Amino acid sequence: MTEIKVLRSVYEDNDRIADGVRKTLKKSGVGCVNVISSPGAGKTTLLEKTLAALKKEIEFGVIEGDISTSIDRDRISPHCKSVFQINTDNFGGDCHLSAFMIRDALKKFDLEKLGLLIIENVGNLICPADFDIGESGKILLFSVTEGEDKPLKYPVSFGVADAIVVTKTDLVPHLDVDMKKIAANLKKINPRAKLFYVSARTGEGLEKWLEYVRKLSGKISYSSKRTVKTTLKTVSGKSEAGAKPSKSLNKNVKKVNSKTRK
Amino acid sequence: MHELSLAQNILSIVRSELKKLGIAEKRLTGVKMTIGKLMQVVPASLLYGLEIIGEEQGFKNVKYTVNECPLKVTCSGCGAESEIEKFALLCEKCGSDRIRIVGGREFVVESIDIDD
Repeated sequence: MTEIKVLRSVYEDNDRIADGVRKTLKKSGVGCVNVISSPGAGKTTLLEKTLAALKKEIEFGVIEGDISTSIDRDRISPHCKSVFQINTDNFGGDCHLSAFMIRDALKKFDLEKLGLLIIENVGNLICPADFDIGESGKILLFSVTEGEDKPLKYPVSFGVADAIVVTKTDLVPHLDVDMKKIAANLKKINPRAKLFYVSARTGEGLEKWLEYVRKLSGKISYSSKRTVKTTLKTVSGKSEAGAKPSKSLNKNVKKVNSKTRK
Repeated sequence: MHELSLAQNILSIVRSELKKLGIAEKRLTGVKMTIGKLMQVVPASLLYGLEIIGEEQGFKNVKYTVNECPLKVTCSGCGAESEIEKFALLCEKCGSDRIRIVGGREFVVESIDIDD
């Protein structure tokens, strides 16, 4: 018997395509986040509020990932012209988005116009963490109704997140949830992640989150033709949700030439 | 959760290696894999999937072996490399959170065994 070395990654195809997606986005100066949570944590609701508040400042693109239906696309459409729905039941009902799905979906977007592409992954706290889809950052949502021990039970998803958003905080008075324990468990699993506590329903904590999103869209490291030599469009001091962009962060926000906007 | 599609990926890699080397598929007797702890793959499910699909695709009497790799980090503070048993991304030696993951993300087909 002869043993022959192979040393090939099982994810080699996915990772190669994901790198291609990342390069394409970088070339066009588009930030990209992969939003992960269990089903029902409030990804779409937070996205609706985020788009409503920032759509005058940032040109968003949204990819909605679900096993079935275009319900989420229909919810996002009023706030964003560039939204595309992926249904994984067309690919055997996958429990996560894969890089090739994003590569194909990118053809539906005018990347030169986009500042930030938000990809809402399939609601699942396990598999999406394992599949690189070409994003520049992962954002994990976790609702207060899910229990304090969720971060400990799903350490990989929580551990790889760049930002963690604790959602539905308006429900805390009605629950037996121990917020100190949530904070401690999050710190234990992922002390590096940026942490936000938000109620999309009441708007509590939303401002801090929006400031973070503004920074994501203005990837300074991305070389964009538009960022370098365009007439700066004045960023409105007031957004729909009444959120005021902080001056210090505005310099990081991608300035979009008014001519290139729809 | 998706061990069956991963099994399919593994068999595709094995088949392409055999083709590249000009070795008949029936000479394959073993496949060795390495899976890091961070990859969330259930080895028993993967092995089951490999046996079922492999058999279907003509790989008879092939032994599939999984070598599990621990989660390892190096600390930017004290420089120590440590294996993490219970998932908390901290240096095992000094407790610092300024760490870099250096092991646990592997998922590779290491080698194949060929009948002489």
